[in-house]
Amino acid sequence: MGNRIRVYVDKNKCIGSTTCIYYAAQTFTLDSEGKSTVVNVDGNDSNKIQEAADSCPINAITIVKDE
Amino acid sequence: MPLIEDLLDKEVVNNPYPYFHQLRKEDPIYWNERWNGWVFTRYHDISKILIDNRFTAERIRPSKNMPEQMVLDMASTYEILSKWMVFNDPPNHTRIRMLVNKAFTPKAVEEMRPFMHEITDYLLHHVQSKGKMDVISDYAFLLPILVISKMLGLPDEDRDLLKQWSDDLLLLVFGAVKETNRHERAKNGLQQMVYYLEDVIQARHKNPQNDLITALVTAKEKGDVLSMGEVISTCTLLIFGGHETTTNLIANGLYSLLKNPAQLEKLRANPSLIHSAIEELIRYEGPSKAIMRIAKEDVEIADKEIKKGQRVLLMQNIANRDPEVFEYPDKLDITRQSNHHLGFGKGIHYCLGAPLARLESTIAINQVLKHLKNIQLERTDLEWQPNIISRALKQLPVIFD
Repeated sequence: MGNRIRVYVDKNKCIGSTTCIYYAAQTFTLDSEGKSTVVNVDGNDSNKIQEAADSCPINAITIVKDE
Repeated sequence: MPLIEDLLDKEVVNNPYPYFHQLRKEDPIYWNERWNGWVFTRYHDISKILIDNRFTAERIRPSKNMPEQMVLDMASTYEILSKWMVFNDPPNHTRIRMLVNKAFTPKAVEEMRPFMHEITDYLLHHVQSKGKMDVISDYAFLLPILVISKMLGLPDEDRDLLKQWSDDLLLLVFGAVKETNRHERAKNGLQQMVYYLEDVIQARHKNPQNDLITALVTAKEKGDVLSMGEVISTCTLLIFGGHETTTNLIANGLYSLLKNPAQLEKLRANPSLIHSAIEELIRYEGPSKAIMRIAKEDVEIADKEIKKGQRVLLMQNIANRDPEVFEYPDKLDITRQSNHHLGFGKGIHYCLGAPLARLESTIAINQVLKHLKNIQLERTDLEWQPNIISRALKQLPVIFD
């Protein structure tokens, strides 16, 4: 069983601070334009992914919990 | 047109846009012999360099013509500045930034909202009966310094000291190259700030408080603890960065609205426009004019050869008026959408304090519109501070009913 969540990065907002990658390096990575992208929603513990979302300087990360 | 080599030419300082628009058209990657580096003015070039790790942020070093004795005298100043995260690449940059990051997230800074309301209420109440104020010294300077002081846990009454030391330091950090004694003033200002902080840090060691300095002193995240030198250095950066630029964001923002009364009235009538208005005010006349980087290797950009070791000056406020990206770039439009300005930079050095600056300027401008009726510029012949990095008015006198 993995994390029962979905994670979205708003690429229109992302400015590539890489803060999310610091907290959850197996979940987020930078794409060729220097913007964050989700590679594996089970990459890190869901608390770490939450920490990454909370730490984003422009609130570009949304977490949706599956029921 | 003859290209102006002096980036601090009075006309260019007071109104940079005509000159740099022309430069962007004629030579968007321009070697400025006098400044001794490349001047970039196109949005897309600047946006790419800010995330290109062939350019380093490690740029604190004495200029090449500095006399030997002065290099020695300034060594301690450069030593402190060299630990500022803004002047570091990963991994040092990451280690320091992530220790303070959490205090500046959008959610964390929201906690300061009631305090910001309280201060702005107080300051505006104080000037209301006078019918006039200097926006900078009576208002825009005080809010950010009191907020960052509270976050760090420094007493309100030290604000004038902190301001004086910061102002001396900015002569060096923001490149006020025409100020002949700038090195000495910056050195003394920073040294005084360091002595002051050493005492505060000692006190927090013995007596921890619920503040950012205590958090830095006791931080143990991922096993990386900051050295004492790094703690002090980071505190000087937070004090400096925590108010110099935000003061100018508030002042430049109000100035731009006062110069465009139809936009001001539109905002007064529709307060919900404040978020797009703040982004537009940062784009239109943001407090940071430029970011400097140094090439770590030879880099070719649009048929120009940037050589290893050469400096590049990335003109943010000119990129923010690039017609390739922004429609009617010289027009202030507080309803502008998809406003991807570079006012806070981009990439790993994206302004740590951006959420704080956004909230402070939102409240500061909302409060002025709410409390001061019929506000107008007292004079129009305003002067801008002659430095390369920051866009700052010397004074902003206004009158109101």
